[in-house]
Amino acid sequence: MKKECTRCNDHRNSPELYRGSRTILLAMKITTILLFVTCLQVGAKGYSQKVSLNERKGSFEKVLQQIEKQSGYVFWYEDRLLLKANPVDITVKNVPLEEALETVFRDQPLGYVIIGKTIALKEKQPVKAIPELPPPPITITGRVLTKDGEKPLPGVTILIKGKVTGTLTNADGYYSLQVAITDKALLFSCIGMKKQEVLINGRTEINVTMEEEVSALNELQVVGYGVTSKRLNTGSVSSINSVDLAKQTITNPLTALQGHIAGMQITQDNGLPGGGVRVNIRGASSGFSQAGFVPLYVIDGVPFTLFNGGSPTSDNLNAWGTSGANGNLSPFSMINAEDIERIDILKDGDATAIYGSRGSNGVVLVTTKKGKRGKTAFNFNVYNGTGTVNHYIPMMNTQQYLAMRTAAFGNAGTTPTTANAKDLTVWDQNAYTNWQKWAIGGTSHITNATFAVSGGDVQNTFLFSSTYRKEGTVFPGSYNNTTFSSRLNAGHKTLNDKFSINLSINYAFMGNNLPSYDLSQLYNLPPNYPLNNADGTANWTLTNPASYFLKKYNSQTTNLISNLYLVYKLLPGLNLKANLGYSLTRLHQTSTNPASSQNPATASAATNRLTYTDNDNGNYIIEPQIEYLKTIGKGKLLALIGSTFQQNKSTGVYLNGVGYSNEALINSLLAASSITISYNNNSLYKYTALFGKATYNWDNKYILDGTFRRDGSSRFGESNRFGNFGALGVAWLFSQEAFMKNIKFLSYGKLRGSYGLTGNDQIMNYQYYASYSVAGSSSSYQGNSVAYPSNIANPNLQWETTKKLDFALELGFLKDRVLLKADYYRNRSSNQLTYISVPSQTGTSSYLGNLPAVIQNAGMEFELNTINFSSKDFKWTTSINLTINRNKLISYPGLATSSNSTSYFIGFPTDLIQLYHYTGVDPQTGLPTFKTVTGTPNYNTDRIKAPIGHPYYGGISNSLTYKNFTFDFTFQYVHRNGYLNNTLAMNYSPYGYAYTNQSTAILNRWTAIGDKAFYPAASTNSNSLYSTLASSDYNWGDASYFKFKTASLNYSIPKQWVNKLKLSEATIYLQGQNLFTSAKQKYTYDPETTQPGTGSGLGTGQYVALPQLRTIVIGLNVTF
Amino acid sequence: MKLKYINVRFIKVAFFVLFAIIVTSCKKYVDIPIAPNKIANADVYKTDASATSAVLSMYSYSYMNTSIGYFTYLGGLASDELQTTSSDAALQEFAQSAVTTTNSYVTNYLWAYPYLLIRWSNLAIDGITNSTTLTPAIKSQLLGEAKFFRAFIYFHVVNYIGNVPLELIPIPSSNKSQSSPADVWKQIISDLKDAESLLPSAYAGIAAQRGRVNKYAAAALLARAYLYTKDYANAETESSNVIGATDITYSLAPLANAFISTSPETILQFSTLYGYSTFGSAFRTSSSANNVAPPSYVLYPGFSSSFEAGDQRKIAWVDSTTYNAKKYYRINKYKLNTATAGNENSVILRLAEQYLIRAEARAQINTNLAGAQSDLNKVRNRAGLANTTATIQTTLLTAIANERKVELFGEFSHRWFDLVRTGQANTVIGALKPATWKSTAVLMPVPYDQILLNTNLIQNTGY
Repeated sequence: MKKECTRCNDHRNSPELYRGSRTILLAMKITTILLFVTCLQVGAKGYSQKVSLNERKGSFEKVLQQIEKQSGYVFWYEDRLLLKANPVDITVKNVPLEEALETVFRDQPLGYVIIGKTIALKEKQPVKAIPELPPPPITITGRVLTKDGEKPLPGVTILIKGKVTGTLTNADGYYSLQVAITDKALLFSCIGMKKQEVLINGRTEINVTMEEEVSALNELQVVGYGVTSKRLNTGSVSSINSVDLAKQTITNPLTALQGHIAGMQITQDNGLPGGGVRVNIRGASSGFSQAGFVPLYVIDGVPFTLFNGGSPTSDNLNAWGTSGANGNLSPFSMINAEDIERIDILKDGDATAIYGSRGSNGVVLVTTKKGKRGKTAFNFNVYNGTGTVNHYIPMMNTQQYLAMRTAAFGNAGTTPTTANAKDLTVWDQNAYTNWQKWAIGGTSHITNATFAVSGGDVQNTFLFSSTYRKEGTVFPGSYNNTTFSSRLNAGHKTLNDKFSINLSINYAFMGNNLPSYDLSQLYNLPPNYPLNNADGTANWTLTNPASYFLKKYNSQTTNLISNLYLVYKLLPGLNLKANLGYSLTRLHQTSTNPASSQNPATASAATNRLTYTDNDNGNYIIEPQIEYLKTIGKGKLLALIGSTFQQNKSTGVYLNGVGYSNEALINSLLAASSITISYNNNSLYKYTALFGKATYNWDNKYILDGTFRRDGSSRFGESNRFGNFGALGVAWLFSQEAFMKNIKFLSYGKLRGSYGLTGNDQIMNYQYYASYSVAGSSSSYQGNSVAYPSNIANPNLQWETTKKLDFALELGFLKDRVLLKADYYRNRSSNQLTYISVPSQTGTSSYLGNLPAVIQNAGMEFELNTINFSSKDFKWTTSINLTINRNKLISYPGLATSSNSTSYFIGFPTDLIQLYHYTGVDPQTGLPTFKTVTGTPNYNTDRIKAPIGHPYYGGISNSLTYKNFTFDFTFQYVHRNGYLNNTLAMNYSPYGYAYTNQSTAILNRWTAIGDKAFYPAASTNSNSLYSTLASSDYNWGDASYFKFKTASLNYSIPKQWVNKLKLSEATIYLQGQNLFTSAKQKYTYDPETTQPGTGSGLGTGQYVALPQLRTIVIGLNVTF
Repeated sequence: MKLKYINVRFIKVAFFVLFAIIVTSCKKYVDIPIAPNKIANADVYKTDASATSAVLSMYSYSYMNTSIGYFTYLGGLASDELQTTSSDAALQEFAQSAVTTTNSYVTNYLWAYPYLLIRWSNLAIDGITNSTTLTPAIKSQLLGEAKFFRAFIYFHVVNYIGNVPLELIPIPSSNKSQSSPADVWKQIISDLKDAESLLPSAYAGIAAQRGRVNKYAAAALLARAYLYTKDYANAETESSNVIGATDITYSLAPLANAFISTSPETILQFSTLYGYSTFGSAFRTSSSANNVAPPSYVLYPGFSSSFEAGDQRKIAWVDSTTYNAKKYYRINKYKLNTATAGNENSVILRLAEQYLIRAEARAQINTNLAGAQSDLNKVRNRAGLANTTATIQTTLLTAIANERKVELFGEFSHRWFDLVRTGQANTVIGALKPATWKSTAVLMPVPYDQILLNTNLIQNTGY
């Protein structure tokens, strides 16, 4: 990826270019030119072949063909040259080849040269009339190529040494320049390339190859419908490439971005395979808004945001299905990280407005690996390892628990009996089970193997890869997640380079076999709870923990992503392109609830139940584009116009089978005595757009970028179905200015800014028109299906819009060894898609409409990349990023009379939480006390806004290379306010009220009159003050955390050994993931977990779920 | 050179064509067909089948959703009929007749849900009336049913709240002010008269279930509406239409079977999918064992003393449970709650009420007191009681009022409405709940949040 041609020009904006697939024409040109250069001096020898020709106004091409046939020589030429040829008049008989050629070419604007058995054609240099004075200018022509000679370099500045005149190379790297006979040398310069001075020495053709100047700034970045470099980008884009991805043991590529990308917050719902991942780019614009905040994911041009109209909006595969212990299924768990070449995250208006209505939440572009020209390479990568839970919640032991229960009865003045306190009266007082160890104390085994073959020649490239992964769980029993995926990428170019095609097909299968309940939630079982009663029967005082193993969840997901990319070069600088994609995701799930897993005491209700769901989500996209490249003055213009046609169709059925006479047949619907259809989902979404983009780059100094998009979405009312979006971005590379040249330590400086308008249409389908919905069989009347009037019509329903403002300063010091990027951004979302209250006498209390409220996300992002040390044997680099985001409600017309009047406040964040203010335990009664107006806590008047603190997040990565060893490690830090003890978040009763163990924090509770404890007394009397307590700030504060996220040690086996084994490369590695977490709040497994199924509230960590595992793997990567 | 020229022209044409395609196709491209599980409002009333599905949704919604149930519970709590075992403060406000303007049960069950059904019936009435493609018989059946529903809902809303907005069109206006109760009553009577003339005697759907509105169901509710509006002659006529029906036989059933799904007494019931009454189940505990916790709604402690000695209804329709050393009387008209294949539905209208309507109308007209006695005795005799001893208008009216209390308890707030319409509420409830009762409590408030949203609404006196 790094060694590419395009750092000089941002107008080579097609992904096709870095796919390494410029083939035949290029090769031909190179061959031709090299042959000219090297062979002209060889001189012509005599040629003995005789040729006879007789043509009147004959076609030049036909004449050449005849010569080929008669002489056995082959002509090499570019098609474009033939367009210039004149008709030929010739009559020769048995003349030598040379003579025939002289005649044929006499009146042609073309020349030729014979090399071996090949005759190559070239354009004749125009012969200038020679004026008397001054001495005639000499025209120098030539071509500038990359060092390896593979790629032409457009936009290279060529100056005559000592003068201010010069020129630029064109799109194919050619140039033509008039020099005086006295001129001595030419200066070739181009951003990202080392400057070169070339002596003329009387030559008229000077071909130059230029060497790349090593700098991270020259790394390519993929942007909407094109590519650019970090240096020339006018928008805010952050990236991660395959090298950094390979350093992490991850099953979901999105999690690899954690701690690496400024402005992007990522949390995982839980640590189970397939578990959901939430992503916020520059803060969630949603608050009361019903629109989703899922970024637009695009894989090789095909949208992969599988939002299918569920509510709350998410891109989870099972939004319409059932769920197992892992909750929501992330579609990215189907994407193999090893197939990914790079991921680019587009953030500001300039970068995202080209995606129009889908750009509000940011855009994540995933580029997969492509075949490369060269020797066929076989790559085999295998790793194997284990995962364990790295933090357990400190819970009370049996003695502490029983003491709490005894105190609870004592404080309530009641006596424990065998009916209400088995733990104190029946169960063994000394028994102790650590339920966390029991449920999640195991070790999961992970095996991952990838085999890839890639290669290609000048015309064709290919890549095939296959991955198998099996991931166990830490639960007792054999639960696992198995993935198999295969990928094929093939590219072809015609010989004349006019047409190229690239096809990728990825098919993945994921089988998920899990319990239907996350067993990590058993942490608060009484520690002396026996699995069985004294008589040997199962203990059902609480849900018997062993019964969870009988409730099984199984899901099979298959995912097809195919993408076809076509380019046709109509004319120099004018390309027609088309991107055609299709993806199909199928999810089949079953979840059983057998009678044997239910309390026999409620046997009348204990029936065998099966949940059976099938969901399909098919998506196609067609994007024809026209691209135009032109050099104007010292500037380069890229213009692109295209359109999008996209359709998403999702169908699903959710069945419940009840009443199996035979539990063994529970997985078959046939054996159910009754089947009800909970829903039969069927929705269609269509989307179309017309978009344009123009970038003008003046001398790599001033860059202006404009995008426009007109979008239409089937989710909106007819009067507002189309919306216009766009952005303007400017960049000033001030370090290119002459006056900056003297500031030596500053090697790079750029100021950029952008302003753009993007939209969001992530709402349920079919909301704008009034309709009747067919209800399920469970709502039928006398066996007749019924249709309910559903929403009321809103033909004005339209886009939620976000105005994005971004300013950034980018600096490079010490020859770009230190690179700093600082962004200020301000996103203002308005026209919120939300339910608008209407008087319910209309028959509805609200309807989905656009509310002109404004929510702002503003903040700062910093990225710092440094090369701390660099020598032959040792290199040390560091990357640091930091993001500070502030969310604020700016305006809300009619807030006071809306149903949101008590939840949202102007000037405050939309994720504000209101809590009672805890004033400590009453030392006399042991009851909690609160700050109140009347003495009794009142929901409307006594709650205060929970302090939000000063949230920020960031990450630090280091990479150290010493000889053959590479050591990488990443830390992630999140500073935020939140709940301090997750075990208390849903605790509305006094401690010891029921058979619920508590965390050791509760040891600091009121026990006797006069106690000044932090936590109130245990009791078995319910008291509403305890539910007030649960909603108070006693459990609120600094909930920051710090994670030692990844460490990776690589040893690449020395070449001499590798070569003996006939290998080209071999690496052994040891990787660790989630190695250590330091969190302010100890009372949860992982401070990052988020309750599945909830919309926003990303990472408030108020939920207890299986954490991300501490995973350690050892692997081998071999290429031959 | 020529070739190049052609190319350029070709490209220009190609551009033009491409844009023409893009611009014209865009608009059409995002026009999607309606979802397969939806019917556009404009198409619902085009075919008999979908029009029927739409009208049946009102039945389905009414029995599935507890909104209809609250017509019974809230009036029961406000009067001397029911008590709740729930600690829900908003329900307790009803029990103490101290309902506040932010009471969520008023907001939801006396305003939002009723108006939801009113919107549905308005949509149906408008759609069916304007439809030209429905089979005439189906058209008049469905129109009659929709009008019945609208009247049924307005009947409860006007009795509970008094001044309410009269929304009658499918796209209602959100700032409509209230109509006087007289206008609402006029609309109720007009709708029911229409329904009676539109509907056939025979029950549509599964005839044996009596689960769809027929002519007599409309007449029965119309008789009640006339009684409430003191149009006694018409009340007598309409109840006579039902009592005297010959094409459908209505007769009083033995007490134990009065509420089963095949009861000949039933004029209209909502056929539930579950085989038990959805709103009757709130009078039963959810557990199959009845000796545990009491249900959400139990009879008012003194209610059982309203029964005369020997009244079989006290045995057949009431039972009790003792919980935490406290005795609770439960309504036992419906015997089932969570049965999967039971024989009970939700009874909406039954014959006994028609006898009591006619008795009251005759007593009020005061020309056929014997007829009034005879109607009253029908109901009394079925309950194992001797003929009434009341002979003159005043005593007869008192006897009828008492009979209504012990016959119609736990069914659609008859007791509360009777107390209000006869002006007894202030005396009876005032004596019962002296600390909290206010004379203005005879009408429930207009929900506070609705007045904020529609400033044309005027709050009832006393709130």
